[in-house]
Amino acid sequence: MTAKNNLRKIWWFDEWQVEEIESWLGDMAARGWHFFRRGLLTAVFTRGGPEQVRYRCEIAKKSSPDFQDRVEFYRQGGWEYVASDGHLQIFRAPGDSAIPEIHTDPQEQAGTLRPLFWTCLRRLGAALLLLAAVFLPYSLLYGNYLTGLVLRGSVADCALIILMASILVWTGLGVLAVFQKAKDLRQGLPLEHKKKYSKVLVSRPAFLLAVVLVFLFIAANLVVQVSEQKFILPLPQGDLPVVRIADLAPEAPLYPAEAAEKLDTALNIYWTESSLLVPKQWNSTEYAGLLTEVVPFDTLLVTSCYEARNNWLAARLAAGLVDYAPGRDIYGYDGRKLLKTESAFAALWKYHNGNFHEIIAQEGKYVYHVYYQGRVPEDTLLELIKAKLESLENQLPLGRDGA
Amino acid sequence: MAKDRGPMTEAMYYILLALCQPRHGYAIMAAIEEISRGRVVMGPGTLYGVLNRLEKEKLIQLEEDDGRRKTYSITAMGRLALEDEYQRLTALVKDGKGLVEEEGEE
Repeated sequence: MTAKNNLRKIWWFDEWQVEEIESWLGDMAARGWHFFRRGLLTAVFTRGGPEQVRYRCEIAKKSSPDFQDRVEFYRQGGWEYVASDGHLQIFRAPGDSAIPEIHTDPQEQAGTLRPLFWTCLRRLGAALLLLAAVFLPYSLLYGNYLTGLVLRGSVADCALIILMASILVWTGLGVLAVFQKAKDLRQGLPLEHKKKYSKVLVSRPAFLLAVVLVFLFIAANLVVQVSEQKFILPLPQGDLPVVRIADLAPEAPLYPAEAAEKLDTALNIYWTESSLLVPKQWNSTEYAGLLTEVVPFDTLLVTSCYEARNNWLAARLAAGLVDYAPGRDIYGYDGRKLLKTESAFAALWKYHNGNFHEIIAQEGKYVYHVYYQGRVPEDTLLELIKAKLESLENQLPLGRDGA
Repeated sequence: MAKDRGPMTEAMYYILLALCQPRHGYAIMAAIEEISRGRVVMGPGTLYGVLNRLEKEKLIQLEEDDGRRKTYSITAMGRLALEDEYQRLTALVKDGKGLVEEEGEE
């Protein structure tokens, strides 16, 4: 087995890091390890004596019909073909001989960079698509990706987005590097064959480690989320941040749980959620009234109460919900516009159509989003919301966990 | 002239000069070194790339290909391009002659 005479090292370089590759391979040869093959993610070296060797990367397609011609041509000139790395064809020649460099005219060499530039540009495009794909679920979920991110984005989600953004930056740097290299060549500056590569050998593994850690973190988070109990049926007793029919119209009979099957919908449910930017979210849906086939309810109250990390975020969240809120279509009408009104709240938007009301109120770091259909006047509802807000702001115990 | 590509690169100029006689790969490199009195050394990559381009632009043509070596020679259009470039370079030198050489003598 020649295994002992072979050394495998991970290939950390991008195709555009031509100078670093040439430098690294040359240094390895000086230490007695001669590059002869490219593995899947590795470079394979064979043991030999320490030698001064020049390695050069030529940008050409191995599959092109004249490739064999080129290899033979270069061989006659003293350059031996070693291996390929994508678009890069790697040749070698003795370091201290009089054999001329493969490229003696920097301006001509600038022209050969074109395929490399397109490859890097394609990778940048792929990275952009990837980033868009990560944002898309929030968009679909909430029609407005920022609102979706704010309400649902956990630390893991944010980490994922940072990761995607890093990849975008990385591919962008590649495009810029090739562009700059071509520019330098056109101005007559030849490539720097002994370029320092130590930074790459440290930063790339570090980046990979970070990626692995992020994915492990995301996976762990997913496990935790799935095992959390989110829906609590029926509504628990106690004073909750959400506005309840019991607060508005105590005598209205709530639908019993059995009715849910008949109407094929979830009735009288309460659940909490959390995200990185909006750590506390309370939601409830209540239906009350006479159960008939024609008009299934005469009182509907859907509340969401959000506690954002700070006032600024709360204001942004409220404005985002005004533009687009899921469920708005379920509860009625297209083209509905909420109107901003002067009020005792920091910000208040209202809409009503007959007995149907939609309210978005923001005060401090809290946002209330309420859909109400019923006979209680709007002002009563607003006073109730105000009272709830004051309790929250004063940190009065509200039995938040539904005890 | 086929198209206004701007000034010729040094590599193109010397290869066209060398191909005023039919030659193949390494003979071209040797001829260039001789013509330029050792000043211009051409690498195989540069030579290969420029030969392909000149052939595409019909400034040179393939005379024979015996499988191992390709022999090229300049075309009529190539000769015109070469003459144009030579005139251009001569004009450059002539315009500078009085000024540059005077400075040098000071």
